[in-house]
Amino acid sequence: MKDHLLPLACLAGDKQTLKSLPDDSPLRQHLPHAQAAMTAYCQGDDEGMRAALKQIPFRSPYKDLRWLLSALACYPADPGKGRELLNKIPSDSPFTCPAQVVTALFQTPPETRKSGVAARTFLAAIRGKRDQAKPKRIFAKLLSEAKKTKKPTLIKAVKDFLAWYPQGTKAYEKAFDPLPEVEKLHIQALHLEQSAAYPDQTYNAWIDLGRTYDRQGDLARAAAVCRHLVQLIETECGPGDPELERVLNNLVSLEPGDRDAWLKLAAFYQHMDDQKARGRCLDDALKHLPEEPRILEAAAEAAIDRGAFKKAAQLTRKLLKLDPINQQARRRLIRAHLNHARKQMKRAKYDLARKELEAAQALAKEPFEQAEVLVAQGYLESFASLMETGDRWFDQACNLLPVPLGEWLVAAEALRCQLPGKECKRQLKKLRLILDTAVMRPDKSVVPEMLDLARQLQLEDIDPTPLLQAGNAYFKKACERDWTLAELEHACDLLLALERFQLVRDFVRKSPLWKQRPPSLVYFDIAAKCRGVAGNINLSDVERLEAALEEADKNRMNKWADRIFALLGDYDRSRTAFGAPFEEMAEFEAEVDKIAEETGIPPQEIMAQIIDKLLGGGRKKQ
Amino acid sequence: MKSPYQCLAVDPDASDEQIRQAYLAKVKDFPPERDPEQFRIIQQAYEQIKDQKSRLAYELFHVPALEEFEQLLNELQPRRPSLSQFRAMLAECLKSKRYGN
Repeated sequence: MKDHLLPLACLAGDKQTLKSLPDDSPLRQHLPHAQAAMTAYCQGDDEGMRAALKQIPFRSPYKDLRWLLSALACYPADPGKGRELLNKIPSDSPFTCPAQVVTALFQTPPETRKSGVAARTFLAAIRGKRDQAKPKRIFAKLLSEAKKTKKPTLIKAVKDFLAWYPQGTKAYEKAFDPLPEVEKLHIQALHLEQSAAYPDQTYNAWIDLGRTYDRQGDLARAAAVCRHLVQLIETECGPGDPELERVLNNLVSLEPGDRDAWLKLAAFYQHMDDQKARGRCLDDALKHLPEEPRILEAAAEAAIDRGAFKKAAQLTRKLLKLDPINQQARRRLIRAHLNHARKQMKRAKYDLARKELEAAQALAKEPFEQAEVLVAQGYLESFASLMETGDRWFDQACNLLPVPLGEWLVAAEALRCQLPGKECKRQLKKLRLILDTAVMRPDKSVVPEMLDLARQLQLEDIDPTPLLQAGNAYFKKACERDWTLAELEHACDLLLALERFQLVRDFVRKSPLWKQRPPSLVYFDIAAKCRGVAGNINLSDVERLEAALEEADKNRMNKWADRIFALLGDYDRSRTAFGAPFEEMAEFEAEVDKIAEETGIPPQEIMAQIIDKLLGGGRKKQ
Repeated sequence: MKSPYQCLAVDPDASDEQIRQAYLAKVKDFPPERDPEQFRIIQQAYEQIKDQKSRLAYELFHVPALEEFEQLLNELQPRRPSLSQFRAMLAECLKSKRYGN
């Protein structure tokens, strides 16, 4: 046997090795201490173990047994320290192999498949049987230990355990102090949530607890319960549940400084498309949190959405004072000024519009932003009947951007300003001329920006079709360029939203990436094929979608898995045999009840006769 | 069954700043590259008690898992292998070292 393995052989009780050891060898001399330490450990006598380990000299062949046993004694209380101690055993030590076995104890989840039978038995003896935990048994053991030792941490553990085993409340109260009513309500609510009771039952238990805290004046806890209720509603009912509004309003009244609650309430009103309530809610939030950047941001966004551009600019300016390098806020402020200027142009208040554009110009840093302001200025001059000056602004804007993005921007603005038909056609004609030349060498980088602009128009309820028709050939040619998957997904997403279904399919199918059938491209291909109507999907496409879903799940592409799943869900709903007969059914039942009242025949009988007649038969008379 | 307070070695009535300092000290002791598991535990503990809102949520809604209570019982009455089981494990290690895995 190799010499360096001898300590292990001695401790394992290898008789041959033990016999051959000379009397003066350190292996024999230090063996009793090492064995004593092992025995003490096995008997659960950690003090004895430490005392025996101290007897082992620093240069002893058993020296690494100290790290091994000390690590073992750390289980299960301190796995971090256990691992740290095991790491101290050098790689050339005879105790490396036992250390590897013991490492399995500190791993989560435990890994024992690679170990031998004896190692597994050894680990199982330390870990104990992994039978199903029984709350009653655990409670009894915890209670008896807590009663014996009276340790506050143990008493708290027993109380915490009541959420698992509320039947133990009386035993707890008998052993320690009686629990106040609010504690009992808390335990009940936790238990219901733990045991996956009916959502309404759990919800009501938390409501009762929240009200009790509120009555006792413990507003912080009452607010915490409200926050928990918000989570429960969001999980169980989704973001549009009316109860959410009630709980969130209660929460902000209990804790007006809760920023996230205000934001959630504003998001709820946005979800319900109630812009007035959203604005009101954020105004209230600003009263309590006037310098909170997130609230200022949300309030500015809400103001833009309801067309209050002046207010949006005011709020964003305040935000920029607090956070001068916030690029998003700067862009939002430009947007607010531009929109305000457009509004003034439509009202023929050109001086006011000019002021707004000057403010936007002062903020614009990037070429696209500067071009946007220049184009708006061009139209302002056009409106003010200085057409030549207007054209000069357009040329300046186009010079800032790659071809044909500048011309696209000018044409998009023409649609946005709702120019008279002739003027609008003039701009679109100019765009077409440029695109006719540009189509020879399409620029991949400008396509997403062009599509983004068209999408913005669509979101502002302006029909972008004339613009997209003008760019159709350009986009068709651009899809032959070498797109990365991320670029392709972004472009297809925009095209799908713009309902340019044929272009989506061209982008997907002409890409070399299509050969690998990535889930995202399969999704776009089928979504475009069915023209956005899930009912148009055929069976073979369903199979393709299912395969793509599996692939997305496997590769953790959660975003695409969710979208494919939603499309399949829409398809399933479109296949339902009956639409939504419930409203008609209520009317029908009311009619049946009326007949039953008049004739005295039971409603079920009338219903059966009607069904028989509808099915073309009649009831057989007995 | 360690509470996040025990994990970060702070008092339950410690301030936000004290908790943050304790967290940073622990991260220094257990950087993620050296002990990722311990680092994860420390980070989780910090998230649970980092401010008043989190502490209240921990106090009101955190219920330890059954396994954690079992672990607590194990700590109170530690399980140990028998001496012969220990020796058998060492003998098996010896065998694998001598003859390869």
